[in-house]
Amino acid sequence: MSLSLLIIIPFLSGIFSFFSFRLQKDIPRWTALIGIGLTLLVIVKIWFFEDYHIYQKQNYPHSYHQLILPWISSLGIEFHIAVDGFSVTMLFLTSFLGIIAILCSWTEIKKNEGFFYLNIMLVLTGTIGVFISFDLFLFFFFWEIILIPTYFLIALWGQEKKDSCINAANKFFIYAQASGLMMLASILLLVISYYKNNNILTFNYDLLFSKPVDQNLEYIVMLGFFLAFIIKMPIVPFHGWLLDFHEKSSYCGAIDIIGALLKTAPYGLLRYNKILFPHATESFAPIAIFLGFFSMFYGAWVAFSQINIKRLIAYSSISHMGLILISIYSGSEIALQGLVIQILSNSISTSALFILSGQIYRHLKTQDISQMGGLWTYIYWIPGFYLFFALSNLGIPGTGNFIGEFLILFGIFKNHPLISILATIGIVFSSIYSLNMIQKMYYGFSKKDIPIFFLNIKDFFISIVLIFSLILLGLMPQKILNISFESIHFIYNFQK
Amino acid sequence: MIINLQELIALLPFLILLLAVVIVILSISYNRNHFFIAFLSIFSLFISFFSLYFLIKIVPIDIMNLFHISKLSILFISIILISSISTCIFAYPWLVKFSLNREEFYLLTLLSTLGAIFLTISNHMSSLFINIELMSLPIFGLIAYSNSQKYALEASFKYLILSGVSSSFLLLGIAWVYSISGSLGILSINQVFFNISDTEQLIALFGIMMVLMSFFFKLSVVPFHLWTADIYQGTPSSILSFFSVSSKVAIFSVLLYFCSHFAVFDHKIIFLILSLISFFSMLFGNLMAMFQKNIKRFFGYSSISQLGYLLIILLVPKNDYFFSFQASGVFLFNYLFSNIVYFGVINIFSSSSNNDVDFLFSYKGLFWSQPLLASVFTIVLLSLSGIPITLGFFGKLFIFSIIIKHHFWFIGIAFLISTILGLYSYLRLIINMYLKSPETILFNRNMKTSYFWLYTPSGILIFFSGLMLLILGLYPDPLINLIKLA
Repeated sequence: MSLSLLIIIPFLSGIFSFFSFRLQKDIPRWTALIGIGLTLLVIVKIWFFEDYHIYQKQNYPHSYHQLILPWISSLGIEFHIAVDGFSVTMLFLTSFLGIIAILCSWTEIKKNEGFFYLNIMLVLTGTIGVFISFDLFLFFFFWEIILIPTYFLIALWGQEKKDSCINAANKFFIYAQASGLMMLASILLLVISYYKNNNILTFNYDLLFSKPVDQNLEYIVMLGFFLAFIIKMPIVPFHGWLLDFHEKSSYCGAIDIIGALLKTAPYGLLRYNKILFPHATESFAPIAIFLGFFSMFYGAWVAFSQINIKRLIAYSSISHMGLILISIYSGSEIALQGLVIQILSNSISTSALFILSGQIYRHLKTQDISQMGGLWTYIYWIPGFYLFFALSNLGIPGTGNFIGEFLILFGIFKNHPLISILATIGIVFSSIYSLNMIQKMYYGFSKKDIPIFFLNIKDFFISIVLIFSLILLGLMPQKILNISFESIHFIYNFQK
Repeated sequence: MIINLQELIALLPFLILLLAVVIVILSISYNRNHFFIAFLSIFSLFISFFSLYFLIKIVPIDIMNLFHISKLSILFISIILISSISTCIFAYPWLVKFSLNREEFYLLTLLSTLGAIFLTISNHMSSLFINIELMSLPIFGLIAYSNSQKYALEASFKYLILSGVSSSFLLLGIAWVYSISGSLGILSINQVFFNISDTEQLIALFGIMMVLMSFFFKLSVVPFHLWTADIYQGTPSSILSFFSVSSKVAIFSVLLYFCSHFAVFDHKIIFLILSLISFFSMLFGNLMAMFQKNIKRFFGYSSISQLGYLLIILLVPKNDYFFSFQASGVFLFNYLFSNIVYFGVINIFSSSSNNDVDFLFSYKGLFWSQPLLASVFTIVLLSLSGIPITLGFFGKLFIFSIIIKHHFWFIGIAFLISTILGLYSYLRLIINMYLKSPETILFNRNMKTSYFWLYTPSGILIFFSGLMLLILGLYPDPLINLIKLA
């Protein structure tokens, strides 16, 4: 029951905040905040008080905590939601960043608050749904639902001229829709081949992965899923949408956080690609690792040459996604464990950088690095925080990113030392662009005279919370690793 | 020729409409009363709709060689009847302000409906031809009904001439087929086809192609689409909700009946032509829709690609049709509800002015002045583009699974590209409603009549159809089970 609340609460609070807009202007944001807060409580309850372990029954595992309702029985589609350790960590991240996103937009969104919070809550609902659905159709359903509210968020609350925002939104939507259609095609291929072999029409995840797929088909279907996920991640040839998405979105950072949350793709790669098609994944690994490397280096190099802060951060996140892709396909359990930490801390540090650059934009009215310089003299708190998050982004010890990267590299090293060494070189580049960015923005002489300003108290606390969570991840990663250990262990060892 | 009681019962919905036509003619000649005739027409359409219930037990049934009623045709008949009910409801407020004769509108609508529903059950070349004519002739009158409107006469003339050409193709095709089979029954050509020499086969195929061509003209698929946009632009929106659904559904049901029952239609030439037509229709329709500034023209183009999707269903080999019936049912119901809402909304907006309000910019910022109306409109556009939580998604899902099941890779790629193109063009319409612009807010404020739109019959109909798209999109089981019965 508490599982269905995870979807119902954010959805209803979104609806309610839309309609309550007419009563009073404050209600929508409070509703949204309370809604996502309650969701967080439910997740915490599942985390601490419920058994979310997987147990093995005959050949395939059952999640202990699940809810199955018939939905479209004529097509064999069920409303099947369940959690395991991996989903719990992702859910926690989602609702935590959701709260931050709402706090960020607290005073910044001044038009159509009701509709804004409706869209934010719908995105969160969809993201939560993606993490807990265990029916392929339901998964696809949530995966697609996220798109529409995100489209509105970029198009209607963008920061610059409307036309360019709509273009960015269109770009996002078309990329995402291409990814969605590819996934739909592969899901249908999978389901129909299962139907031909076993005469059962079902979208059930547990049933589908228990039976092997034909060798030729497996590769094609895997490719469809893979493409769908790497478009959303994004990995380099398909990264076009992410830059415009961040550049054009509103400066308050809420939408950037949504963008960080959209990266449900690593989760999907692990949960679906690795489990449903273990053989094809194994033979595909070299190509995926190559793509990962390409995206890692390309992201880092292009980030170095960017003069727009948000584009720079977006490129840096593309570069980190490359590392994540490498770790997924490296075939080492330690790397997979490290991946969880890396996803968490990378999302947090990237979001924090976006929030702070939004604040800078608010005061300077520019995202152009070449027009900044010497900001340390004029701004209180932001440069320090910025430095921390930038360093954490490049993986300095003591932060979660370090643990993630260390575990990933360490895990890879055991089997493929060369890949690990190459990946380490990639991290060197990430420190180059980070330091370059810090140098150009905050040190040196200022080009304009700007009045001194403070970070406001709300954003100050948001940054403090984010810093603490990163340090917590860095100092006590074992807590997180313990939660997700079992499901990752299962995913790693899964064989058909 | 003897008709037994069962056949009479099977003809009940048709007889009811015939009776209604006669009463309407008589009452017009005796005393013109707009309200009475509107009420009578809508009432008779409803009665005819409900009398379909009696048919369920006795179908499939053949009536005098001319007609064949199956469960699937009951479904199609109900779609056509719903669309013509909606037209009458939409047209009433428009006709109240109309200065010339109003009552003939309902007469023409009823006649055209009669032709369309007879067409869905036709099983003989003669009944086929007569009913196609019965269906399209009143439409010329309907399009030109308010000839003071811009482009109405032009559209009517275009449709008249092109429709005449297509009818002559149809007749020519029937003659060619007749020259081989020696009978006008559709069954006979199927029986003869596999026992004749190659040259004769070629002649028969040529005849069949001619017949199909005239069908394709009515379905307005590429390359017979040239008339579509102009005629959509010139036709009043209340008529479009009927015109755009009934003729296409009727013709499609005939095609579906042919392709699912007669082995001739699995011939590789026909397969090739069907797949080419569907390929180009999908792409071309959505490609052209991207550039339209007039939303009626937009729908014209988008309907081309919708029918392109629908034609994919016909590519399935004859004995594998079970899934295709479901697909066509879901898809056509989506098409029906989308049409009703789309043109209903245009109709509500146009009720205060003489011409239809059909420019894209007139709908700018609609969401901020009419949130409910804009939401319903958004649902329709999402449904047409096939986004989840709407019925359109399931239509697409069915068609997509047909593509994958039968490995139509070539068509599949076109389907993907056209879906993305279509999405771009629908998004243009959607975001337009959410943008704020000062001048249109003023424009919307002037339209006081539309403020209470929900409390009018048309408003209820629009809201209900939009809601159906959403509910069936979340829980399509009832609809799928209903179609499975057929």
